[in-house]
Amino acid sequence: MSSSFLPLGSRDLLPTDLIKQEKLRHIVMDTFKSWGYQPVLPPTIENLDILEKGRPQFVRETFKVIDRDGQLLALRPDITLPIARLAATRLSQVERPLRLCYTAKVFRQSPHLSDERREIYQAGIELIGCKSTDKVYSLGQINKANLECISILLEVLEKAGLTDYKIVLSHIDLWKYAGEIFHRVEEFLEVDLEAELDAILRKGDFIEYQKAIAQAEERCQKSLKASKEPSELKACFESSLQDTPLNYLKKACFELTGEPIKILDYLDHDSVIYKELLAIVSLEEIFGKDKFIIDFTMRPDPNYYTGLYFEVVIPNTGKAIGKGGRYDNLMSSFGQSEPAIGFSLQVDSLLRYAKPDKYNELVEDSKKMRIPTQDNNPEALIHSIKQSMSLRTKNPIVIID
Amino acid sequence: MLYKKNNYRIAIPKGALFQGSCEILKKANLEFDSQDRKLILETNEANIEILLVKPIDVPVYVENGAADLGIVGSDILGEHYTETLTLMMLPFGHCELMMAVPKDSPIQSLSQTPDYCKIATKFPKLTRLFFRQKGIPIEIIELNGSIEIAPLTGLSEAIVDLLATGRTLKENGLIKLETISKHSARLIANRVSWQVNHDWILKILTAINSANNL
Repeated sequence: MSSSFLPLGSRDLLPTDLIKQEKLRHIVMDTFKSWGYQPVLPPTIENLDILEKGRPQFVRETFKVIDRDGQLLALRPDITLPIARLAATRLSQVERPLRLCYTAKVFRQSPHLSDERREIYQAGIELIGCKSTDKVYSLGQINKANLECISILLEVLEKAGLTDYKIVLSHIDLWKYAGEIFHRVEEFLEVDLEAELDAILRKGDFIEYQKAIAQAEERCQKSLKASKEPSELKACFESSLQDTPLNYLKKACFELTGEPIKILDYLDHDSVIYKELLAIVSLEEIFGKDKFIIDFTMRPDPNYYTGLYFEVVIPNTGKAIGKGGRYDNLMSSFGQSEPAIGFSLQVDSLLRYAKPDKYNELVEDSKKMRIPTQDNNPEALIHSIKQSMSLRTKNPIVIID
Repeated sequence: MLYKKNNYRIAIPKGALFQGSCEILKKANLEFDSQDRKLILETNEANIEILLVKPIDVPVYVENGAADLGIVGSDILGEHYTETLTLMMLPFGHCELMMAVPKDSPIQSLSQTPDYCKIATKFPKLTRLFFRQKGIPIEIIELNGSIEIAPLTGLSEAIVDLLATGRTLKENGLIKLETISKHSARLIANRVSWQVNHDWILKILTAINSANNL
């Protein structure tokens, strides 16, 4: 391959790109800082084993580097992991909650051909730990952290000049709502139906989902017939099969997406998940209507997320431009058990979908002043430099021609 | 710049699934002129458009949000990974992916397939998967059409291709050896459309469902 080619998925940033990017970076970081978040920047190269510890499924997408001693290193595929490492080590004694923010590049090789980008500029925050000494969050603390995180997200999107976006909410605990039937079905069949359905939904295959439930139903009926359980228990189980739960599961993949009011109505109003989501949706009072959608078929990675999960989407593009959620188990893989929540946004996508005039004006506005000079006259040159320096106090750009 | 799309769009494939797609949408009360030579068709619903694209491009339009819904064969979904939602099975476009050989081939059953057997196909991913599961190493010759002539010209020893009626096989002196997978039409959706335009998509789903059950 010709050496004048860029590697796949790389790009050069030209002056106009960088000027826009810098302006956006300032808007984003100033917003984060105004909420009390402090900037950090982990190294570009990390030990590969922090990945293996914190998020093993990332390893395949990571660029690996070998140093002189044969040590296997990684170009960071994510900022949250290094920040978790930092929070558990050098910042472990700093007062909680820790409020940290960043803009930094991550390096990935997407398994999907349609996304060639390998260097992704991200901006985000992490809110780690809570004031109380107990290791478990109360609902009040969960809500406090969730609302702070989502409010910052909404404020950043507005300030960055995005208008047509939605925050799609999901939650790892959806199945707890259907919990009882799961436990009974699983006890009976000795299959992990919950995990099975979760994995199928993550693939987005609703046909397979219906098949899995139909199969579970069939297995239930069979083991009911064969079982020597007291008939009382049988009857109770049979009624629960025909009753809401399995039917609820069948409908679930079609019914659990849409406007928050409708979807919240399906949930048990005493459940934690209902209270958590209701609190978030109430933010529309501040930020305006129609910001949120709930989509329970959008399943978070269960090895990583432990509660709320959300994505920022732009209608008609089909892609998310940012995501985040609660990951209470990550910190413990670095030896310090603490709850945590955060999000990251793709800076390039923010620029692409922002109001078109938002970042253009700055580039055009930079009016340049020029001072002509003669190359062969050292005295005149000195004078021109002197003149330019005094002119720069009033003019943003002065060029010596 | 963000392209503004104001209408709902359904991408349907030209070719074998075209007729079935038109019929199912008509049953769901979406009328449009399928004789038209245009590629974007208006429907009786002012805010719904039909896109006519190559079958293989249907998931591409849907994945990227240029179409909200699409109709596509499960063979294409299996062969080309795309991040779309597969909503439902549609009752047409039934066919099977199968392995075929010339009538007088020394291979008369799957177990007689020699190591590194040359197999011509349009479906390298599904073919490779099948033979890996069987533990048979093969050599794939990737073609884009007229697969049946590959073994007749010495290009390959066998083929893997879709079979709907079996006529083309017979006319070219080939016989079916083994079924690899069965396929039919699917309704797919863009995930963000599913989230943002959920009520509209459910309406279409319900209309198709009740038309199917009649």
